[in-house]
Amino acid sequence: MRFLYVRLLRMHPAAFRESFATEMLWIFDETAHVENPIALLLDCSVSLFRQWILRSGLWRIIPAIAGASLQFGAISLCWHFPRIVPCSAHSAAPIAHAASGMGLLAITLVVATARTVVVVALRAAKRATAANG
Amino acid sequence: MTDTKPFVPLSAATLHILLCLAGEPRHGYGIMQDVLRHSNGQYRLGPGTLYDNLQKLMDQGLVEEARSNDVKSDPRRRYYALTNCGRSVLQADVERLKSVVREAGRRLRHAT
Repeated sequence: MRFLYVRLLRMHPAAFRESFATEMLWIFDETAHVENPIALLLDCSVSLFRQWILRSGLWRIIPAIAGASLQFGAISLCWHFPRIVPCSAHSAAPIAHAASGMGLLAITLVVATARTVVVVALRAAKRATAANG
Repeated sequence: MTDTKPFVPLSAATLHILLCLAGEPRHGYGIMQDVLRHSNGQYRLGPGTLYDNLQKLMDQGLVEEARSNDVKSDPRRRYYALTNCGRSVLQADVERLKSVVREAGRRLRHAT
């Protein structure tokens, strides 16, 4: 069990690990004989999830992709239902429509993902700087 | 004057941690034991939840690392203390809870 706990601790982000892993392992050693070790492992797994997904800001990728998909959906509607939403480009060839639609989707996805990556990287750098003093 | 609005209401884990630190600086294991004690065994805080929340509280400036007065203390133990901002936030949340309890009492009295 201790081996598994150590493995889980090592999977945490570096800044968190450097700050708290020693103490967490010490508490595991102190409490493993009175607490249920499975509960401690579960607690550590929840912390792992929260650190990578919530605290790092990685969860922002999900709404970013959802936003990009919505934009793509709106563009597709504009392309394929010119009577509902007038669009001057609907007279072009269907292949050109599809290609430009895919291009727009790709650009939107790249921009949204790049923005998220930059935000996450900046946060990680800030946290690492704070952890190193 | 600290603006406490962005921090209130506090989550259960955060409230318990800040309450533990209101009296004196404590180390992580001490916080876990104190939470168990003051909640009459009803709220058990695991080390993962504790340190995840401590990191958030330290980032927000509500908790800071403190020096231990205990010379015999294990060097692996780090002590944490409330900052002035943390104390104000705790005070604001306790006031909020008091008003909730007052309102609940008033409504329950009317219902009976």
